[in-house]
Amino acid sequence: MKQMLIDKKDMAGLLTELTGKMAVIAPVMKGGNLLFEPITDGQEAVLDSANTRLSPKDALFPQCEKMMSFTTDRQSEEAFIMKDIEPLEQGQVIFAVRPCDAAGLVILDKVFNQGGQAYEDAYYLRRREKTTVVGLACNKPLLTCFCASFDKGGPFATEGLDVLLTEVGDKYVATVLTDKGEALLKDKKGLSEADSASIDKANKIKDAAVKSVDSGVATDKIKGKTTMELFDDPSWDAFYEICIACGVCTYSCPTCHCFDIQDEVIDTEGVRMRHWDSCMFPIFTVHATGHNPRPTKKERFRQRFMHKFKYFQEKFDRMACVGCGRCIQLCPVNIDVRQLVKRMNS
Amino acid sequence: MNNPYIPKPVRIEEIITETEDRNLKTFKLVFLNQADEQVFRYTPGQFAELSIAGKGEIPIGIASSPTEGKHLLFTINKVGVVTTHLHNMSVGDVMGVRGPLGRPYPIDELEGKNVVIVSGGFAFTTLRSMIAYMLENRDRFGNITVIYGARTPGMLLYKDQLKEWQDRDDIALNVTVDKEAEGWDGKVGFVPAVTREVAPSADNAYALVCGPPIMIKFTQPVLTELGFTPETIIMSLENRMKCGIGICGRCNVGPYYVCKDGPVFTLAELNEMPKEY
Ligand SMILES: Cc1cc2nc3c(=O)[nH]c(=O)nc-3n(C[C@H](O)[C@H](O)[C@H](O)COP(=O)(O)OP(=O)(O)OC[C@H]3O[C@@H](n4cnc5c(N)ncnc54)[C@H](O)[C@@H]3O)c2cc1C
Ligand code: SF4
Ligand code: SF4
Ligand code: FES
Repeated sequence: MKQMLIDKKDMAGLLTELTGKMAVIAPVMKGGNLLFEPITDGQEAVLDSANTRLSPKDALFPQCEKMMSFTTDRQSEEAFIMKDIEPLEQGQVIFAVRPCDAAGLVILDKVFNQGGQAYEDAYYLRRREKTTVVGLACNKPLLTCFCASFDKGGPFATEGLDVLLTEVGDKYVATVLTDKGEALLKDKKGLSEADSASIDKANKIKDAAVKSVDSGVATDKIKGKTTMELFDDPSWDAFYEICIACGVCTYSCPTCHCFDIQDEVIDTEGVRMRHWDSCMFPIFTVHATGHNPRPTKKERFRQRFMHKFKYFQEKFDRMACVGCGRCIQLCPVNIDVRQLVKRMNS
Repeated sequence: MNNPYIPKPVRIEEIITETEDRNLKTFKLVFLNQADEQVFRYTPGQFAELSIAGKGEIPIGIASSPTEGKHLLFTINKVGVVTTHLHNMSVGDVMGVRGPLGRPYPIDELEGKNVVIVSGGFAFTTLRSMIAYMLENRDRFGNITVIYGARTPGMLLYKDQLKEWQDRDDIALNVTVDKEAEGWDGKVGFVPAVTREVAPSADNAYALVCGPPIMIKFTQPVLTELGFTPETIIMSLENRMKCGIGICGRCNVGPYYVCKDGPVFTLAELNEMPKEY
């Protein structure tokens, strides 16, 4: 495994240089929130703050995305025929992704590529292929972080990353993890081979960080329980009532991926769009007959947790939560996913 | 890269108004491009997403059988935005079809078995596909018994076809309506009651059931009385859908996506799942 050193003062220049070759998406301050946004100047990137408000999933699975275009002009030979929106030729790098969010991308990879041409989400996969992910290890995890509760998770985890950066004093140690990562850093100014003193320091920081993460959420017993045993557990009643079904937990989650498809037309020119959606909303499952399989907040609330911790595990052999803690921080009524998991696992 | 979301263009070749209230119409569709038609290889029980540019997409069960030729049939109930728009379309109009989607009836398992079809209302459409398929491959199946009910004689689907099937001696067709009606000399009564009366044997047999929830609720115990096990009762679910390929999360029931793992499930499978359908 190749390890390099980058001086902090050279980082902005390196990012700016990259913007000439590809889209660079990095955490920036916008309207008082730290968010992943495309940058044109490396100075914009904020690399010394805690995790972003929203996850970077938007870079691969945009909140609103054009899928197809069409015309309803009957004079046209192409009237009513759907045309694919081809993706941008240019590649992209998502920069300073925390390890939990990178694991979130690995979960999305599974959802959007379920094998066989008929089940490959072309929009996501075309973008994924052209994306390089540079991670930033967490020297100081937050109180809401529980990434270490999951297999392969932790503040220095590398799953889903092409490069991992560790902040060591006035430098970053860059650990190159894949060919994509290697290609990204190749021949860049200001990089040097990492010396053993820096690597030692990085390892010490890592050990301290790993110890500080609350990994107290056990998830091991959920697998052995049946779907109906968990589904019929009476404790859902105690948990769901205060939920106001705002959907913030789903929108901020790096692994939530439900979407809606809708057409938008102006005059005769139209696009078929997809937009994020949420299982917390009542109309999500309403049949055209008016029948709703999840008629109350209770069923919808339960669905979110059952899906993440039980159904997803049955299908993909891992849980659809990476312990980023965003839903805990952002829930207006302080619902804590860790309590629910504890209950499911008890 | 293949893009499974892109509908293939089709032209409406024929529109048949099925029922007296004019709320059910069958659309006969043909592909504009031969290549698309060749790729669309389906099995009874599957569905497709029908797409109208500017209006949206809806999942609809395929009513035709692959043995019937190159066209596709869809029978559509007028209930909302997209279906109403479809009902107002004309022969020659262009729309889109995406699919085939979903898990079909387990034809391999059904081969050599007696097949009992129980259906009510317009859910009969995908079972029509199955019946047409079995009749075209008659020697591969045992006895075929059909119990099909509608509110009134005027609400029955595929009336000409029903007559044809009635005249054949290799299929036992039992068509019923809810109440006595003028000019109706067939069976009268609800589907569960008629099922009890017809009493098809469960020996070496499968029951394919599709209909409104209330019909299914009362038919299940009758089939159980007749000796059908949860493994031999096969149903079809109709959860709300968008992507149709197991990604958008909308049709999720327990660990399954109705669009990909279904819509066809055995009762044994459904018994292990939350009743979220
Ligand atoms: C596997 C399967 C097979 C089926 N087979 C058949 C069949 O053979 N025949 C049949 O008649 N029906 C069938 N259905 C039911 C059919 O899919 C619905 O009747 C159809 O989707 C109704 O569409 P609609 O737009 O007319 O109704 P609506 O009630 O208008 O819409 C249906 C749903 O889509 C949403 N929706 C509609 N328009 C919009 C919009 N502009 N923006 C946002 N959301 C919107 C609504 O909220 C609603 O929940 C089947 C369903 C499934 C899942
Ligand atoms: S953020 Fe909290 S209140 Fe909002 S839907 Fe999620 S659990 Fe409910
Ligand atoms: S469920 Fe909450 S903690 Fe888990 S990944 Fe989603 S937002 Fe993060
Ligand atoms: S319709 Fe999207 S997952 Fe089934």
